[in-house]
Amino acid sequence: MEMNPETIKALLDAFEVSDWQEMTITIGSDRLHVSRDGTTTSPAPDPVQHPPDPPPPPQAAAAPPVQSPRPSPPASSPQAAAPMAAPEGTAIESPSVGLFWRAPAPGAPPFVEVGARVAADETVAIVEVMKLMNHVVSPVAGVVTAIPVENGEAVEYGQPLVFVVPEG
Amino acid sequence: MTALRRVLVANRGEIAVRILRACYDEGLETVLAVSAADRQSLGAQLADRAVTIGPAAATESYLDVDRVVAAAVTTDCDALHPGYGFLSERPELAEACAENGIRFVGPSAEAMRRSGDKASARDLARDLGVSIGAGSGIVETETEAHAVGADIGYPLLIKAAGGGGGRGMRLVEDPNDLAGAWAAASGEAAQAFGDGRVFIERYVRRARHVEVQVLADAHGNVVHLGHRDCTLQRRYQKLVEEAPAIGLPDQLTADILSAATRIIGALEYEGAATCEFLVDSERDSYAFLEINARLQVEHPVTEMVTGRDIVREQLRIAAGNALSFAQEDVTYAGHAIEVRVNAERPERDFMPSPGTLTKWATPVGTDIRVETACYPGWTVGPDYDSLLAKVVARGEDRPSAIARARHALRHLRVEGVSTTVPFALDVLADPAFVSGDIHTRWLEEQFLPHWTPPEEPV
Repeated sequence: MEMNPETIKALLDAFEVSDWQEMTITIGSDRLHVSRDGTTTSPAPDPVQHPPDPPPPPQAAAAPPVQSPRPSPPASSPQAAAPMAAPEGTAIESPSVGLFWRAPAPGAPPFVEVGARVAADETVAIVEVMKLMNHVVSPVAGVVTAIPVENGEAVEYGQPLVFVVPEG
Repeated sequence: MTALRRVLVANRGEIAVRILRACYDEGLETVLAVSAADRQSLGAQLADRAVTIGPAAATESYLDVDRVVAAAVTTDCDALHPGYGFLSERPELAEACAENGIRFVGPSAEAMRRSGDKASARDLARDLGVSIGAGSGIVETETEAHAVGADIGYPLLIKAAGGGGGRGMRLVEDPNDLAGAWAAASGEAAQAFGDGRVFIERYVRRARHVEVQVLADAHGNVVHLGHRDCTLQRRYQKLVEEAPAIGLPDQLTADILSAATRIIGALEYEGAATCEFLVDSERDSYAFLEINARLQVEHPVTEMVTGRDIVREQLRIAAGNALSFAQEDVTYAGHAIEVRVNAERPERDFMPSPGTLTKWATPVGTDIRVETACYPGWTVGPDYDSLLAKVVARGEDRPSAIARARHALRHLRVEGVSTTVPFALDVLADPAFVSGDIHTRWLEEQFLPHWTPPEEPV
């Protein structure tokens, strides 16, 4: 058995008719994490590429309400169940606490989109620390597989911002 | 005047935990800024929320003004407590807080500059009629240094105008060493504080270090909480502190307390401050040394004998409230002693002894406070200072405080790192310490050369 569109569909169907709140399935190196209300009780770990100790998401009990860091459920997903497969590739982490910006200026096109090719040392995002714009660059050439942070969101040091699968 | 709601604690270790506790007492929400090395710290577990601001290196975390303020802004804090050390006496932090609508728990940047610059603080003290001892203003050239040396005599001390902690400080016994020491002190000060200005003062051979705790609010109230003695030092690092100071003649005591409140009162200062004085035991005279514009490591001894909570008062002052008591309400009960327990090996020149605490249990009692961020399993890393805990004991008089401190130290259960506890037990039992007949260099010159470390455990 492998993780392919058919098995994912079958697993989601099974989840939908169950009374579970959350489900994590690992097949080989692939992992599927699903939860009903879009939140998770445990981070969705990547067994290979993640740092051993991922920082907590930036909002917690005492925090002001901020936008959800989780991607919205795809339109095709059944009801509220949001597939949360851990992103593939190398995590590019935030160099500091600050604000995450996807574009060089408001209204400008984003540095990268999911699916885009990036060169090594290419800027993929900015983390702003008190008006100081820190360019976040990709350490490798590859393809962007995920951007798990919303534009303008508060981030912490070490938080994964962009995932890139190396090429070549 | 608005009440505070959420405080960012911009520090680590025991003082972060101490500030969190004051926030609990005041009903305030807390956010702790941590480095990547401190994500599992006790403070990170106790705070309502911990925010990782940077890597383990302090220059990219606890010493980075922008990151600390960004952490406060992005977590919607309305106040920031800097603790001691790190950024606590950097006017840039107070300024950045003000610019971003965050109350800095401490004086304004202007008051911090006025009080933190040692040369201008000495000028202020002199203008107020406070004794400052023989010393110079800023010494800018080697020639000037020689002229000052000829005037005040040797030995003398070169000190940094921009900071403390022994950095940028040089003892000069011989005029021939002056030029080199002046250059070295200035260079070290520039590196440590970004300010290479130095001044010179007379070196007192038998000195006691006495300081006065002051609190000042925005309503013009300036009160003191009495004095402390921090004479027991090694390389200008305090190891044992007591309240009240011991063996001070009444007139000297009155003069020092009055000097401290007059100096702080003249600075338009809001918050906690400590005025440090050098007491010349041989002459029964004193000289103002400097102002520490922040909470002090040794503040608990004052709290133990006065029953006042200095950190809670700091938070009240930052919120714009008046102090919760007046000078005439301050009373003193007994004597308190604080012993700093460090992860160090005194028998090897106090070499740091990092490691993982396989055992940690503390002997807390009604008259024994243990200020710490340690817990079983916590790793004391190489990135920061080696302070494990402050063991603070109160007694009805000094002998009983010493006895209680020794009793507490013997019941501190630590495994996994070497500590200064055996050393501290021997210091506290030494006849010179017990009689109070010590001076600032006693530990290095009298005690340590004759100290036999206890057998190392196998």
